[in-house]
Amino acid sequence: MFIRGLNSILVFLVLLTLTSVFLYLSNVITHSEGLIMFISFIKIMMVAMYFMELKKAHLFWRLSLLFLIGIIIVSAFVLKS
Amino acid sequence: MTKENINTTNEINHIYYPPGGILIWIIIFLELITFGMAIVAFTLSSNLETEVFKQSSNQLNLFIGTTNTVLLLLSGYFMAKAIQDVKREDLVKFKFSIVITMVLGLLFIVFKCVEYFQKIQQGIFIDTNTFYSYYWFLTLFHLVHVLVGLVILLLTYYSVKKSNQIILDNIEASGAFWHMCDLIWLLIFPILYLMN
Repeated sequence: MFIRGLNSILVFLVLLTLTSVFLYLSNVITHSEGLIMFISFIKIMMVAMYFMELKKAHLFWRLSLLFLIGIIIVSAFVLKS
Repeated sequence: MTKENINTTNEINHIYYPPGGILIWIIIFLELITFGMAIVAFTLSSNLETEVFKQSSNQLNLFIGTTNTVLLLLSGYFMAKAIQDVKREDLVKFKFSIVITMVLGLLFIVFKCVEYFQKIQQGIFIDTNTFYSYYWFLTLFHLVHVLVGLVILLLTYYSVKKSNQIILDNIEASGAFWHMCDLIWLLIFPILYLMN
């Protein structure tokens, strides 16, 4: 149980770090859209897998979410560039 | 709190039983599709009016946007903790975690209202330009979801407090709805605040 609690804190810290990274990237790199969208994708999947406990769900749900978020992020990136 | 007081289907790895139940996940997918389509439309429009989108995006308050991201991530952490507390049959910690989640949700709303107030003071409304039409639509629609999420969490809190009985599926469904607000915000924040 302690390890579980520790996992949630770790996930939260990684999410905070990723938020800082993409804020930094958006200020430093001119064409950072791809990186920003990729980091957003990782953040969304982390929230879904760890906070929503989707990692314990059937493979169908994991793949469906991966596919849906992937489609949205890739479409936004491709259309933007 | 005894084991008998916790009702759950306990078939989490079955295709019909994702965490929180199949219905909440159908809602989550439909919401993500709706916001996803709006984001794709936003991106298409930004290609047609590049300068307007760039200037308008730069006018947004990045500090408030980032603070709101951190608040939602932190509330997501406490919601996940609340569900772990329930599974551990620790009602006191569960109530504490869910109250913190709601307080962070309320803070999100306060910051959002401050941002809206600033925009209204600057004379920026839904019809100012195409960017702001999307901005108001996406963020207000998301704010409505946060409000609904808060009401659901409040009802969950009071039902546990009143009956002293935990229905794990209901609590997981409430948590899944709250995390959905996280997911949507994580999608719209970079698109509105950073991509232009």
